[in-house]
Amino acid sequence: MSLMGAIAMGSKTLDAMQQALSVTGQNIANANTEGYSRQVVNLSATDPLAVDSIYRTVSAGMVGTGVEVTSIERVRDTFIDARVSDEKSSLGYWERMEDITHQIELIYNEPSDSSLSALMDKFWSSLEDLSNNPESTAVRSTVLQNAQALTNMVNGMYAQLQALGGSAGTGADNAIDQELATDVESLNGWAKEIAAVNVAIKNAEATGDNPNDLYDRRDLLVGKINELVDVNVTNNDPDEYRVTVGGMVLVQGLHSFELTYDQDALDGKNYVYWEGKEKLQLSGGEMTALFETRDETLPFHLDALNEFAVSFTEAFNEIHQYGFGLDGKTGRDFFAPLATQDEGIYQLTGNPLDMPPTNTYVMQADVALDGGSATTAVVNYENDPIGAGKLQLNGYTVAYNCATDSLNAIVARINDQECGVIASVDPTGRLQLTATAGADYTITSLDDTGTLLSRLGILAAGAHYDGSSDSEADLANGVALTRPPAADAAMRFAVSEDIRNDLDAIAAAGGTDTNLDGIPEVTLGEGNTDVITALAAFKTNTVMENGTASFADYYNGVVAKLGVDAQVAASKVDSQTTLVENLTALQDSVSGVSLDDEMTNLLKFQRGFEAASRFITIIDSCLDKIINGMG
Amino acid sequence: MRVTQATAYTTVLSNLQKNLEKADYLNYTISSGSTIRYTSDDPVGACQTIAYGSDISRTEQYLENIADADDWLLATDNAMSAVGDILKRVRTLTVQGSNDTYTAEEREDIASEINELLEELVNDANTQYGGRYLFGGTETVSGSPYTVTRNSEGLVTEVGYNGDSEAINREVDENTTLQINISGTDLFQVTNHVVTAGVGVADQTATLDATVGASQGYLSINGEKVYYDTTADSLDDLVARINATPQTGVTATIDTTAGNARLVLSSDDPEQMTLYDVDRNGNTAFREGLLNDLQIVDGSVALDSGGNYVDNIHANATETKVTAFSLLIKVRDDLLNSDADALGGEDLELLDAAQDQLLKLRAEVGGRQNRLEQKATRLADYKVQMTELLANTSDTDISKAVLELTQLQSVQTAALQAASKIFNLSLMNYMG
Repeated sequence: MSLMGAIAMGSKTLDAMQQALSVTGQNIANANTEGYSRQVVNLSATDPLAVDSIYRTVSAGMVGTGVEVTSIERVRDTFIDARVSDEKSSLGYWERMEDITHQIELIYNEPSDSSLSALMDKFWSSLEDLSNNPESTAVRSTVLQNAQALTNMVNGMYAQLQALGGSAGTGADNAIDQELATDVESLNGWAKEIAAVNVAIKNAEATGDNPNDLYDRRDLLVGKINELVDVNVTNNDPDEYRVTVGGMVLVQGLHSFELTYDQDALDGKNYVYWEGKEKLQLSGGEMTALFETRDETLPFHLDALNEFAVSFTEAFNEIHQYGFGLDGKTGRDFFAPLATQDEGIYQLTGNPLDMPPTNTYVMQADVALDGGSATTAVVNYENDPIGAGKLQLNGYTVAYNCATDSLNAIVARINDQECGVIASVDPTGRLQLTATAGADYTITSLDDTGTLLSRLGILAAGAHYDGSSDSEADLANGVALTRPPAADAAMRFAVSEDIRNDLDAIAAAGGTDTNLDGIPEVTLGEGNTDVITALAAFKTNTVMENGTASFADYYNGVVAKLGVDAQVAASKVDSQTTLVENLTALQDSVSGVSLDDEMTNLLKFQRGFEAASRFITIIDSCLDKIINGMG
Repeated sequence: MRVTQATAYTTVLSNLQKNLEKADYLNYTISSGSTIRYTSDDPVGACQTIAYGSDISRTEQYLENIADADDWLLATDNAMSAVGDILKRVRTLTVQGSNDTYTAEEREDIASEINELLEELVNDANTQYGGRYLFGGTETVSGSPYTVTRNSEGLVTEVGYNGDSEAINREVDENTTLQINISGTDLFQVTNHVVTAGVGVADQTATLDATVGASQGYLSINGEKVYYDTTADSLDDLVARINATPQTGVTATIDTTAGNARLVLSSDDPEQMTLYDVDRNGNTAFREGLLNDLQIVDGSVALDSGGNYVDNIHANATETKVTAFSLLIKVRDDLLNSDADALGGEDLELLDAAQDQLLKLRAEVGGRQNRLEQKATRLADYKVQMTELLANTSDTDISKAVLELTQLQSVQTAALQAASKIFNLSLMNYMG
């Protein structure tokens, strides 16, 4: 190699060392940058030359021509990267879940002295106090206050849960919907950025370069999207970097698509739409957690509060109605009657077309319907038997035979079926059919192959009810119909106006039924406490869940489920966090900048630079000798 | 594995954070005394805490009810004791007065003392406790149960009763109630209440419609409903049916002394009977029915606000009803009339009967008080047990928590110190 060639080699080395130093400097500068992967310089020897010689065609050995930087690459392990983004998505999901369930926990605030269960205890206590002192106005006032505290608490909890996640049709007023709207905006922003970065990358790659920092930026953006929702990235085709979310393409190469957060007209809730057309089914990440809590967890709690309010109001009022206040009057509700919807049937009370003959006004519910009783000379429908047949309630069949079945027996048989409709006999001997919460408080169909339902005044003869409002014409004349309670019963849960206006209206005393119609007409006296004792004992009656749970049991069940949900979410977050930490450490060990490494590299390349400069100086002095020292 | 500074920093921070979280929780348990801050800390424990708390509050309420009931019974007992003293004094005076050595003027003096004792008895009968009348049944605040009518000379002629005979119950345990009151109709009744019908039938085996017309319905005797059908039942049948219903506390018999058969209803114990016909139409102005047709009760007597027909016996019926008040009036009048035979014989017997009745009821009150005491002891024990269970579930073991916190503190200090050492290690410190 000639001397000039040597100088050229020296300068190439200087160049390479400078580049290596810059790359090291770049690594040091970005040691703390999020998503930065360290870049390494790939040095390789340039192709050797065959050297001319006087004596031979080529001289001994091929001579190296120096070093060049073949590429600057970023160090990344795509396998670990994929694992990290999966687990981060899962972590995001569980963190959100923990967050929301914790907020619900705070709303319930159990166990404490000011929670719903504590207020219920206080209410029962004040009812007991009233049973000790039914004449006292002061105690009545305490009962009213405690009742109002209870109803206010239920109203407040319901409102807070709604503010957190709303119910169908309340649009984007609640916290979760607002958060989701913001998230969709973020997704759109990042998608646009990715598209822009893709443009820049394409331009850079066209010249054969490796735009490492642009790659890093793109990966970071995809990582951010991944925390919100699972993404799928395909990078097979160099021109087509594709990001898909929920099955639809978000970014395709240089082009990004837009997501919107709009209301679905069918159920009134908001969902994510792709380009205004397709509803996306998302999985993983924070947004899925938000959707799940909004569509499953919160409705569960809202429904539980509603069921509580409905059952409490109904069951309490049923007993209170037959009680007598200090003013000797009866028939008043303690809790405000539930507001009702416009359609559907919740409860039917039959008005029998022909009450059994006049020696009993109230039908004997424990005597066979087509029979009579020797001891009280009662005759039910003995003179005009009803016979046998099959009932159909909400799709379930119940057989009956009035020759042997009493009304109580038929009622028990219906209730055993657990068909979503509960039967009962009211104090005046009338059959009452009530839909349960499980059946959405609606009776959907009624039919009878015999004549029982028509004789008892529920269905018109030979007709059948199918749940539509036209079909209501098929019900018997004179049947008493109650519509389903309005949604948000828990919001309307309140003490009735009668009681608020007049403390004496709180019915403590029972009454006597002086005309045997099943309803007491006259109070037993202001010292009597039959009704208030029954109301206080109510605490342990099993009136919820088809008669299997008391209020306390039901409420405890809800609280337990909440506690377990929150506990599971919290422990999942803990384990996911540890997992993500470990994976990030692995990722970091591959792509992270170690300042010690970089320090050593700096020294290395600095010495290399110095040595190369030295080389050039020496070659230069050789040249100088030749040029200036010879001839 | 290659470790960068970033990894080292992250590890240190995350561990410090975990320690702080634990310390925060321990701090909460110590300062609040409870291990359950949120339901998620211990869902099962939280639910148990709610259930136990509820149980304890209910037991406390029962204990309160028992204390209240006990006070009422005590007041009743005191009043009954005063009544007993009066009856004793009256008996002594009656024995004196029956002695023929007393002159008419002396008997008059005794009579006026008896009148005073009568007024005193009415006062005792109207005793109140906490603003409520003890002996008026459930008519506890609407006016005094006993009212006095006097003649122009200031002598008591009649003592009327405005209360009822209903029970006042208190709930003293789950599904357990105890009657705490004694109504005046029980306490002051000396003899059984006997009512003989004003109308009799010619043949007690013939169907009743021959005498009273055709009707069916129900009689109410002390709240129990008894069915009748005059077209099918004879007087014997009716009597049998009434006696077959034991809860009425009334025995039916037939009195044939007046030449026809009359229905006689008498209470089994000294207490007032409540009789009426059941009118299915809710007619309160005039209740038609068998009891009215047989002239046992007067159907036109209206319901009083307590739903009772205490004084609705028909004018044509024969009623025997001796109360302590009517007895004292009788004794006083016998003294004024110097009827020594009555004084020494019938009056003394009735006075003894009155005292027996009083003693019987005092024993009952004492029995109830005993029962309450036993209940209270058992419930107090139960409450202690429940409180212990509650403590085990959710109370903090302070010494354990403080120990853990101290441990945590030393771990945290060590971690912080190690962190500072790690952060100082770098090649840059040693290079030029």
